[in-house]
Parts: sequence; structure tokens; C-alpha cells
Amino acid sequence: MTQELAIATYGLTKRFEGHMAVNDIDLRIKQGEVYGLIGPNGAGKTTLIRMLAAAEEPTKGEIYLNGDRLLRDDSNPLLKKRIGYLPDDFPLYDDLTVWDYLDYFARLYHLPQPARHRRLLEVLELVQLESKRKSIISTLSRGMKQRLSLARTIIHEPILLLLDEPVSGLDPLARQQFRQIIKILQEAGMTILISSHVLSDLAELCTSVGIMELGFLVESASLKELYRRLSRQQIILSTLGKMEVLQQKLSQNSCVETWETIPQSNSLKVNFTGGETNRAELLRSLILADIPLTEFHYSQEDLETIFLKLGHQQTS
Amino acid sequence: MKNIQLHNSISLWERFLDWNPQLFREIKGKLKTRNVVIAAAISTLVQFVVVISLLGELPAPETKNGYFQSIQSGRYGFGSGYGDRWTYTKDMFDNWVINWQLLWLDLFIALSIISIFALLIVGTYMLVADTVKEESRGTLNFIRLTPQSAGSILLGKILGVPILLYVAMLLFLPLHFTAGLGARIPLTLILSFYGVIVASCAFFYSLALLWSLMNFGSSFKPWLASGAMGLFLFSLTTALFHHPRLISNTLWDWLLLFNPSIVLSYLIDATYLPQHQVDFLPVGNLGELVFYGQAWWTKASWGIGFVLFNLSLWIYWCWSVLKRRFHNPQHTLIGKSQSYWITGWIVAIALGFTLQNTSSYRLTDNFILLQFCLGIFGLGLIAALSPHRQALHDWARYRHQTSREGNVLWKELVFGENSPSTVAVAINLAIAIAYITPSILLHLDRDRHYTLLGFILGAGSIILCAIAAQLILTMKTRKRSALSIITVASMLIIPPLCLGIADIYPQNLPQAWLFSFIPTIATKYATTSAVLLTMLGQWLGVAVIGFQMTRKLQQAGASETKMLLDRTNSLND
Repeated sequence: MTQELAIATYGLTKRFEGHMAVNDIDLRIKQGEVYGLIGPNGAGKTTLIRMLAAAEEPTKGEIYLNGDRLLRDDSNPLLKKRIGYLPDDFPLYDDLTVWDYLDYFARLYHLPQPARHRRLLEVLELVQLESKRKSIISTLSRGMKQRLSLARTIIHEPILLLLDEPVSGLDPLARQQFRQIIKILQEAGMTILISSHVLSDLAELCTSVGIMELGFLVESASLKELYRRLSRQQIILSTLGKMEVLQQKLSQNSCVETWETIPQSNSLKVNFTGGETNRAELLRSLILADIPLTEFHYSQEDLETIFLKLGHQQTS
Repeated sequence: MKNIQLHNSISLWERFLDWNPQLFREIKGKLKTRNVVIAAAISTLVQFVVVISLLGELPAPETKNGYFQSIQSGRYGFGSGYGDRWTYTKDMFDNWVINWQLLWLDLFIALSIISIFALLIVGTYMLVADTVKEESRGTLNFIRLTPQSAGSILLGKILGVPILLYVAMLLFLPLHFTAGLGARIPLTLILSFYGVIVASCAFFYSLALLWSLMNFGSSFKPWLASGAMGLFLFSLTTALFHHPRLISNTLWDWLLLFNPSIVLSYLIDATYLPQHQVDFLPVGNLGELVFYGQAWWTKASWGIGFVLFNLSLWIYWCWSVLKRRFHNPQHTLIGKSQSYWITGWIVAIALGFTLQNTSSYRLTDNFILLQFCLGIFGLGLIAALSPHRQALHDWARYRHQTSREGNVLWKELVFGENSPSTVAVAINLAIAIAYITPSILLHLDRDRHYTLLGFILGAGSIILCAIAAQLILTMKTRKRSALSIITVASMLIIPPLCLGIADIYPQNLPQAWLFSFIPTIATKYATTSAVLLTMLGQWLGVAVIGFQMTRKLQQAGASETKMLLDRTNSLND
């Protein structure tokens, strides 16, 4: 069972004084997934990620990465080569150049020459810092430093990437660049665990989502499953004709739950439960009924709405 | 051809850098042209000043009319005189006759002492400052997450962080080596001296790294470490130049073996220069140093061999503690199993230097000193072995699920991580006393009983301190470390201080002094029943605090459900 999973934790717990930062978590992440971890501040996301990266010792519980037990000593160098960890703060060495910094970490991860040189060039290209390779790190902007940190995280080609709030403090352009890089890494087959308060980014990137609150993992499911279970589908309908005709036709469709009129317009917002076929069927029935439709727009509640609907409070 | 040679040297340099990534990082960060030039300039300037100051002792050149202002004298003359002043004479060709060998030796000694001071004090500062900075900024955590071993990283730090200092010292080498040969010191001894300097650097640098990885303070750490190092070296090196009674034939002599300058005695002796001219600790005096009744230090090979053995032994244990500490900065400083080995070695060597006298009276004093040092060591053990509140609570709460010792309480207390330290401290003291007891019984005459009782009472008070410190470390306050230090210090210092102020001496009221840090000074005057009552009192104290601690740990170990139920029941009542 654990062989197929990139991450499997059993009863993972971390206690600070009497406070349970992470409480008996059984996390399962399949290989190749992009797993988004969301939750309010203090929910235990960072502590969980730190334990998965072997940067924090669990009070109790076990962690398996690709079926191998993760321990916090130097007994498992091979396992450490598989992990790339980017914390929310990213301390760097101000006295080194970009190239020397990456070269140093490539050596720490035993990358031999000439593969090391090649990898350094690849990574610099990926994070778009080729022009800065000879610059001293202290002269870089925050976004560049963040990308350099990501480059350091992936220099040894890890198969598991742990990213804690990677886009915090970045401007929209830098965030978009960062998302692009993550997508490329996902395509390269890396399993990625990413915690973020920017839920729109997660919705774009993730295949699965876990919600943490008060140290518990209260929800863990694929994004599709989450949308299917918790997200309401809505269809916006506008007509040039009479609203009563449209409403009468809608009442005959079994997939239509409720609707509400949008004030000061000849439009309705319909809560719909069916799938794609049912939607097509509804559209066809409305056209066959000669209703002069000007709009038939389908939408789904986004991740943030689902999160708030679950009773959680997301701080962004 | 030149290109091939250049390529070979580049690839050799690359291979050297490949060997240790941490060394690569330090070289890239620190070995910059500007820094190297500054280091080289300082090194050359120091050598220039030393040479000039020595040449100042030579006779002044003649004036034009060949008239001397007076009879010239100085350190390097061959004529009559005393101390540092000898008149300069001329040979039949009217040239000054100068004791060049002594001048070379002085140069050799001066450069040696400067090198040792620079390497140990500045090197310690650099290492501690660098590691503390990395730890506080969080960069060290990234290195911990890489597949590199602790040994490789720390070796890279030791070789790389003081690299500019090494460059400066390497520039000392040609003149130093030439001075040694000029003073007619055998090559093997010069090389052995270099070996001792390297070993002492390895030891003190490992100690510096250990110090920087301890979880307290940060800004003052480098200054405190290099300050202590400076004080240690300055006092011991000054003593070497003013040697009367340097060898005290007590445990203090052990400290001498950590100062690499002591080896200079053998090098000076090999020059056959008269002792009164050199004025450094003579080998004859060093021969008074005895270890388990054997005077190992009379011969250079054995003496240097023992110095190297002593340093190597403690380098080994420093590294074993460092390797554990590097990956687990939240754990106790040393593991319980490690502590038994370290205690064993320390006591074995300490007893060797204690048994340096045949007179029973002086030997008793030596044993009192040993007991005092054992007490200090015991306090060190308490600090190094006692887990803090969080670790203790986790142990109490989850030991049933996480224990590696098969959930057997005594095994956990003796060997386990994060379990309370009291039992382990008691075992360490028992090991020490068990090893020391046969020597007390064999070598002491009348004093053997009260000395032995003194050791046992001393151990009792340390155990009492250990359990009190451990209890305070479970308190819910951020100042618990400071509080436990204050408590232990007041338990040890206040009673003798009060007794001293009240003019109560061990002879007058020995019972009161039995509770002090060195009970051996009072056991001589106390009755057996008083000693037994004191022991009983100590163990009663241990039992009461132990009971209180068990209660606290049981509370901490209760599950959240149990705590909730207890609270509900108390509300209902």
C-alpha cells in the first residue's frame, strides 16, 4: 500500500507545551499529485510540512516517503536526496553569487560533474535567472530570491517537493511566473505538496486538497471530488421573452433545484445538480420551447467559497 | 606543455573542492583576493616586527672613528654577565661573536606562541561566530536536510571558516621552520610540534563547534568562547615562562597537557642551550609530572605521545557528541550511554593525575581536589543530560508508544532519550566512585574512611541537585533554565557562605559542613552517626523531590480525555 504513495503518515503528532500543533494525522498523497494544504494561520500546516521535510522531529507517529521510513539523522542520505523543501522564510548566503550558491547545494547533494554544470544551467533557465548567475545574492530582489530558493530546492531533482507559502509577498507577475514553474515541475513528474493562502492559485495548480484546522486534517480529497461533493453548479440564464415562460419550463426539469431572479435584468440564477449531459438537455429543451435565450452561462462555486461554506475562516 | 600543467592543476583544485562541499562554500565565500592580501600583509608585518625586535638585541654598529660608547651587552652575547644581559665580545677578525642559535630559538619560540594564540583564540572566535550566525539565520537547517553527514559538514567548517587565518599561519611556516633548524632543533621534533598544534586546533575547534550548537544565547557566545580560550592560554603559557612550582602534582597538571606550548620544552631541551639562558619550563621539571606513578614526561617521545593521546581521545568524544547534536539540536547535549563512557575516561585520567604523591597527607588533599572536580563535573552532567519541559512531557505522554527500550522503565531511565536525568547522573557518579574507591583504600592510611565518606556524601548532594534541577526544568516558565541554575548554585554556595560568615568552621560544627559541596573537609571531624544521618537526610530529600516529580510527570503523561474527565469530575464535586 505504502509503495504507491509518495507520502504516507501514521498518527503524526506534534505537541508544543500543551498545545497540539499537529494532531494524529494520517496523510496519504499519491505519486505525481499536486496536493494543496489550506487552513487558517496556526492550523499546523507549517509544522506538518517541516516534519515531512525532516526539519522538525514528530512527537509521535511515522512518516513514509515512497515506502521508506523517514528519520531525522544521517542514516538515510538516499531518502534526503528525494526531498526538496522550500520554507516560508528563505535564508540565503549574502556573500555568494547565484551560481556559487547553487553549485554549493548541488555538491551537498552529491551531483557530479559534468551533470552538475548542466543541471545548474537548466535550473537557472527554469527560474529565469540566467542573467543573474554572477550577481551577489544580496543584490537580488525578493522575487528573484524566492526563485533562487526554488532553484536550490529542485537542484538535485527531488521527486517530492514541499513548498510552504511559496508565493507569499510576491507581486502578481512574480506569482504567475512561480505558478508556471510549478506546472513545469508537475509535468516533469514531481509530487508537490504546497501550502498557500491564495486559494485561486491552488485551484489552478492542485489535483488534491487537504484542509487543516486546529492541528487536524479535517478534509483530504481530490479537487474533482471536492467540487462534486461541495460545490454547487449554477447556470445564468437571460431571455428576451417573458420570464414566466422560462420559469415554467425550468420547473419541469428535474435537475433544477431552485432559482432566483437577478434584479434589474431579465436574468435568472439557477442552482443545477446534473452533469454535462443534463445541461445540454436543458439547453435543448429551452430552445425547442422557442424561448429567446441571450445567455446560458455555467459556473461552479470556487475553492474559497467551498472553504468558507465548510465553516472555516481563511485568512489571506 | 604549460597548458597541460595548468589544466592538471585546475582539475586537482576542482577535485579538492569536490571532496568537501562545505569547504567549497567557505573557500568561495572567504578566499577573495582582497581578504588574502590583508591576511598576508598582517602575517608579514607580524613576522617583521618579531624579527626586528629580536635583532634589536644585537650590538650596535661601530661609529666612524671606531669608538664604542660603552661596553655592549645583550641577550645574545658570549661574554660575562647574568640573566638576559651578556657582554658582546669580538673574535680575532674583529667580528662580533653572537649566539645565533639562541636568537633562532627565540624567534622559533616567539613565532610558535604567536601562532598558537592566533590559531586557538582567533580560530575559536571565527568558528563560533560563523556557526552561531548560520544557526540563528536558519541556513544551517538547509544543510542538515541534505544527505551530507554531520562529520563532513563540520570538518568543512573547521577547515574552511578560519581559512584566512590558515593562510596567514602558512606564511609563518618558512621563517618558523628555518628558525627551528637554525636553533638546531631536530626535524622530527619540529614536525611533532606541528602535529601537536594541529591536534590542539582539532580539539579546541571541535569544542568551539559544540559550544556554538548549544541552545542558549547567541550574541555573546563567540566573545565568551574566545575570551575563555585566551584566559586559559595566557595563564598557562605565562606559567610556562615562570616555571617554579608549575608542576603541582595534583589534578590541575592535566590542564597543562591541553596547551600545545608545553611541547616546546622538549624542543628547547634538544638544542642543548643552557637552561638559564632560555628561561622556559625545563624537561627536568616536566619529569616531575606523574601519571599512575609513572613519569612519562621525561622522554620527548612518550611525553609528546601522551599529549597527542590525550587530545585525540577528547577529539573523539567531542565528535561523537557533535555528530549526535548536529542532527538533533533539541535533544539533550549528550546521550545517557555516551555519558557513562565519558565519565569513565575522565575519572580514569583524573585519578591518574591524583595519584602523584606518596605522602598520605598530600594525597588526601589531592583526593579532596578530585572530589571538588567531580562535583563540578557532576553539575556539568546535570546540565548536559537533563531534558527540558517539552521533551519530558512528550516522554511522559507518549513513552508507551514511542519507546525504543521496549517500554521498560528502568531501561528508559538508564539509556533512553528525553527521560529524566537523575538516574543517569547517579549511575555516572557511581561509576566514578567505584573506580576511585580501591585507590582510596589502597593509598590512604588514616584518612581513607572519611575521604570515602566525603565522596559518597558529595555524590548524594549532586544527585539532590540533579533531581531539584530536573523538577524545575518541568516548570511552566520560560526562565526555567536560569531558575534551575540559580537553585543549584544556591544549594551549593549559600550554605558554606553562611557558615563562613557565621564563623562556623568544619572543626567546630562538622555536621553543618556535611551538607556542603565538599563534605570531605568535614567528615574528618564528624561522628559516623552524623554522617549516616546526613546521608539519610539527602536520600529523604531525593525521595520527596522524586515523589513530587513523579506526580508532575504522571499529570503531564495523562491523556487529554483523562484530563478532561478529571476536570469535569472536580467541577461536579
